[in-house]
Amino acid sequence: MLRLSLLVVVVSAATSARAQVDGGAPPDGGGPADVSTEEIDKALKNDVAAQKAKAQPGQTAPAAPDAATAAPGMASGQPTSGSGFGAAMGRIFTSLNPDISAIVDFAAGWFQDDDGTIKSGDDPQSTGFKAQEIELALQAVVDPYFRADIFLTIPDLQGIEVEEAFLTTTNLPANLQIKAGIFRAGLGRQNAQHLHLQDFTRRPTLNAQLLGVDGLRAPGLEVNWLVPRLPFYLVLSGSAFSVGPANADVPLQTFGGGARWDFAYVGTARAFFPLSETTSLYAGLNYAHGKTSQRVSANDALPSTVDGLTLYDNYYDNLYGADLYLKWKPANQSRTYASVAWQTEYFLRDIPDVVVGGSKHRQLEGGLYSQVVVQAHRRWYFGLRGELMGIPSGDNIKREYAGAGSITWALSEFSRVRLYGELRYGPRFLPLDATPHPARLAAAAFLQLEAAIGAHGAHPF
Amino acid sequence: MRALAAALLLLVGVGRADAKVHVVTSIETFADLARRVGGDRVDVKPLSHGYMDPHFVEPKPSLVLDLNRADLLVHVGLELEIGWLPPLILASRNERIQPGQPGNLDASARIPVLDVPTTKVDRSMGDIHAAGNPHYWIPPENALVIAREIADRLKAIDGAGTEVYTANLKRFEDELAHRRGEWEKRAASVKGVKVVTYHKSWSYVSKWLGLVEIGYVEPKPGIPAPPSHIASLIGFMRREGAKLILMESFYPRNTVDLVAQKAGAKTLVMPSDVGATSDIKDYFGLVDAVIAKLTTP
Ligand SMILES: [Zn+2]
Repeated sequence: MLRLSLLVVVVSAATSARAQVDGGAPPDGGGPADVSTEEIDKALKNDVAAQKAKAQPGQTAPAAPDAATAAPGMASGQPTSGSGFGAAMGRIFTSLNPDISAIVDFAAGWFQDDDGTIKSGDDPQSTGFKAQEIELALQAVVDPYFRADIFLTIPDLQGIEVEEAFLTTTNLPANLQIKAGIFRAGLGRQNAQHLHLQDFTRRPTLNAQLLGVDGLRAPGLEVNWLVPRLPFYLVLSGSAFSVGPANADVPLQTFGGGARWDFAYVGTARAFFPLSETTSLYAGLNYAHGKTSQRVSANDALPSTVDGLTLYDNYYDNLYGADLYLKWKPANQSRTYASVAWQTEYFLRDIPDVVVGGSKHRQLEGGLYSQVVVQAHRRWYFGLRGELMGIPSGDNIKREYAGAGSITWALSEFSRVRLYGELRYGPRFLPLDATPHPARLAAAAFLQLEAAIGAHGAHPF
Repeated sequence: MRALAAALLLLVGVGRADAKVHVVTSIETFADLARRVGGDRVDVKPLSHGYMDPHFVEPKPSLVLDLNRADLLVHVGLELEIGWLPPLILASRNERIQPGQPGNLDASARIPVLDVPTTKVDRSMGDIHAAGNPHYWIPPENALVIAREIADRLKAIDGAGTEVYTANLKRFEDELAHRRGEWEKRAASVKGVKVVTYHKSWSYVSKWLGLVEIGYVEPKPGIPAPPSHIASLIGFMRREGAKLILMESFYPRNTVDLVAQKAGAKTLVMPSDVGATSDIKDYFGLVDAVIAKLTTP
């Protein structure tokens, strides 16, 4: 029985799909072999020596494979042998349990400016060894009407959080689907993605600067619709969220302000175009509307006002965004295992009438990131990311430039090691301080280890 | 907003105009079997192609459109497509093909499955198929099981075509019986021949034709073989006199060629699905090509 999984439970590095190779066409050049001739020659010598030693007590070479002479993975060494209906039925009974999996992300490294750097909730939170995130996923079909996905997470060993817990309908008519619970809004591309789908150790600061440390993630309801009878894939969605007020002393949060009935409303359109068998384009347009939220822990600091709320709190605002994902990957990869993916997102926040210094003015602020990830070998991925914040800049989002690089070594489908480095040029983030600060250069570097256990997840596109 | 609502009503209101049964299959071989059984009454589309690795198909959203229109989805099961198909089925918003529905056919259900783990397994063994070996569709007796299952589902979905499906299935059975004898005669010479395969994807063919698998280039799926494994494999092949290495075109060739060269063996790039090469257009062509590869000196 197949299990559905809307959100993914596994490391996003994989050996993968293919391009047509005519039967037996020899690889001219081709990709590097997993092992070198020298290594084999050396190992062969050892093997011959071992065989000789084994043959000493008067035994001749075995005529048939047996466990004593076969290496692991030889026919007799396989942990498999049963067959037939009985064995096949077993899997059907056991599959009534939800699919359970866990993902751990450990990181070790350093922020040059620990306190002045804006971080996402699942970034390494400071210099040192970090349990960046421990995630537990439970996923199952509920009944013929719903499936359920529950993701519990412990970020930075700071208590257990419900990262997501939602139901998805499976039988609505007219290509409609409803998602209800607490979940990451499909606003742009990376907002909806968990940490283990990121190609870099930490997220770009775009969503943390605009939407809060965890991006737009809140209890809510989404209705989405796969538009029928189009020659391409187009999904429209509308959702409403009860976003909680911002934590104290973090950047102005686009949503979460006002009263309890001031929802954040999100509308998105996502389209997919297979430009060719190897090249695909996935693009989204995003819009959200709600009320700003910002709090500070000390009332006397500027620009805070009474009750820990700031000048910018509780204004209607709009968020406009666009995201683009372009991927090239040969359908039959065996010669090179190469792929290239380019991803970029832009958000613009419009607060139409902020009152600053007694007069109304409109505040437009935005930022973007753009990243390229190249798979250069079956197990090696290289990523480059640029961030440009403050286009346009304003009281809350300052002009900032950042560049990051990552090298990912995927040991298997289920574990990977990643080296990450970044350089950031812009003012320090100091929420309680209204005086302008000069731009400074700040570096950060991390070594990350990620592993997934349990149910086999699926990769989303 | 009003325009959107109007568009929605219009699009929803339009019924399914064509009367054909839409069948979507995860691999091309199943598409051919569905066409044989379904004939003119079905419209068949495979989600992947024979030259792709069926474990790792790119889950492109465009595939959602095919699944959205499907009346019947035929997939391999046994977790072969676990890395890509389940999210697409959910995203299809198509109730007919959700797991447990008549329109969702796990073609492995009546296959006598090989290589089912009998001891506790874990992923130190690699990305293993914990439910048993899913590479079962080439031997004729399994193809027949699959074709019968497809016929049963088509009859359940499209009762008006029952006689057509029965007749088409009968025709397939007859031709298969005829060809099977021919194939087995042609392949008689490979009985007892010792082979090494890249992935453990030839168990069913080996069992059918009497090949003796003595080892695997990739002992742990998805994990690079250490030099010590390759070396002992080469040594073992030399001692056993294994002269053939079987692999699919979508696996990396270099290590295999190294092993072949050192062990004095020949690498056979085997088609494992219809469409593996452009000249393999249907199931019969696939089995013909497999046997031709094995028996060409
Ligand atoms: Zn396999």
